[in-house]
Amino acid sequence: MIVLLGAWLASLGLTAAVTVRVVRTRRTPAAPPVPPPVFPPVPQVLSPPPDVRDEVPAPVPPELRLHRDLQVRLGQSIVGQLRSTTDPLSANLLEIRSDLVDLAQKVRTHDQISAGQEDRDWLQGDAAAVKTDMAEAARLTRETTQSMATHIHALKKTLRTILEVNGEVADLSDRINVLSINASIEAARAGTSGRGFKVIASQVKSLALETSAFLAQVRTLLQGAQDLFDRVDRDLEGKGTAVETLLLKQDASFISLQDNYREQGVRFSQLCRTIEGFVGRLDLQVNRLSPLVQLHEVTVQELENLNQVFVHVLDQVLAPGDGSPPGEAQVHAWGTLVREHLTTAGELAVLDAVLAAWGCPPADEAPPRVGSLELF
Amino acid sequence: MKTILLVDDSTSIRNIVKGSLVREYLVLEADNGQAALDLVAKGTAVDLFLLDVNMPVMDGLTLLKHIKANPLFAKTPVLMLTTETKQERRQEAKTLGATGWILKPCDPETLLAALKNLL
Repeated sequence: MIVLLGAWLASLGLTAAVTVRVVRTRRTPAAPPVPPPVFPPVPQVLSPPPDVRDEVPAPVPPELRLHRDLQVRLGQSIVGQLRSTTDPLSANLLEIRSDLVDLAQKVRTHDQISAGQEDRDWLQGDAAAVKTDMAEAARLTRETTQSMATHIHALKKTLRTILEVNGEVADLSDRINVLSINASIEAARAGTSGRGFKVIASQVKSLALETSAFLAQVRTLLQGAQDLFDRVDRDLEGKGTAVETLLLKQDASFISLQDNYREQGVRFSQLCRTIEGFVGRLDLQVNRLSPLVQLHEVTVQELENLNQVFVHVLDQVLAPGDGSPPGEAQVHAWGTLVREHLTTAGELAVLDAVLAAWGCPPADEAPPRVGSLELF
Repeated sequence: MKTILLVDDSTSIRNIVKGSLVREYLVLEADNGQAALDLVAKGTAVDLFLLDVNMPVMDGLTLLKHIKANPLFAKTPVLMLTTETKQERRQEAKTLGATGWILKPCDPETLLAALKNLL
């Protein structure tokens, strides 16, 4: 259609010159010369059909030529302006939808990674192994502590036994000492004959005293050892309890960590679903604009078509005739010509109504519903 | 992801239709029949054609004829997406082997449902 318009406009340039000459002859010689109309060049894409070009008459009434030219150029201007809004709008909508698809994909991917098998494996695998090792360490610590406590108790019992024996030996030493004193007294009573016995009694006494001193020293050492064992025993019990408490605390921390991790995962997943829902709703809203933008574009195309129709009609009017109203055949021929430029059901319905008003029967076919889908 | 070749001389229509399909399909574009033929001649795989009827250089019905003559695409579904309402054009498309005829402006969900049905 644009091709035809371009060609006709080219022919208009010649016709306009002819028109100017006609105008000049009608004016008085004193009147200033009327400048020829200047129109911006319109690119010609292809040659028009010869029959149409040949039908354009010359000379013709200048106001109709002007009307035709204005129709062509204003129509093109309006269509151009409308299209300059539709194209960026549709490009923006495409960009928004592409971004939404991209965003939804990224959110879905992150959600899948967050709740992925690897993480669950980590929780159930490595982390669970750490937990098991900690429990094993706690058990071993407990057993070791108990074993050491048992040994220490046994040592303390042995110490007590040794102390008892030490006490008995000390008692025995005391009795020997008493016996040596008695022996010394009896030796003195015996006089000269008991002198040798007195020496022995003295030595026995000395031995008994040394034994008592030695036993007292051993007792002191044993009591020191007993105190040391008591402290070790208390320390061991305290440390064992501390280690166990620590391990239990770590176990609780691990469980808390696991729970926290799971909770964070659930929250992240909820967030992802919220974002996905939002993106989906936004996508739906943007999708609802699609038919509107299509309608806008179709309307622009309709305007373009209508513009061409008007030009065709004007060309028909400009064609030479005998001044009588067009007959049914002529109207039908015009209608056929105009129909070639129309596509939408709305345009065709209007054409049929106009043709019917001029006495031509409408087309048989019922126009299909806009947006309908027919699968063959 | 299935590939759809969308052929329409209107940039706006291509943008809008592509926007509706981009979530589920890979959409290639051409602005006339000849450009579409050049694209498939390079070996581009296409699972479905979506063609406008009235286009410059080569119209949709001529393109349909070429597509159906190509053994590689003889069985590939072809949907005509157009404002054209004339019965004879629709009949011609049917005769040439088009799979369906959708009138613009169309609801994206209708289009998606048709594509899911065909692919």
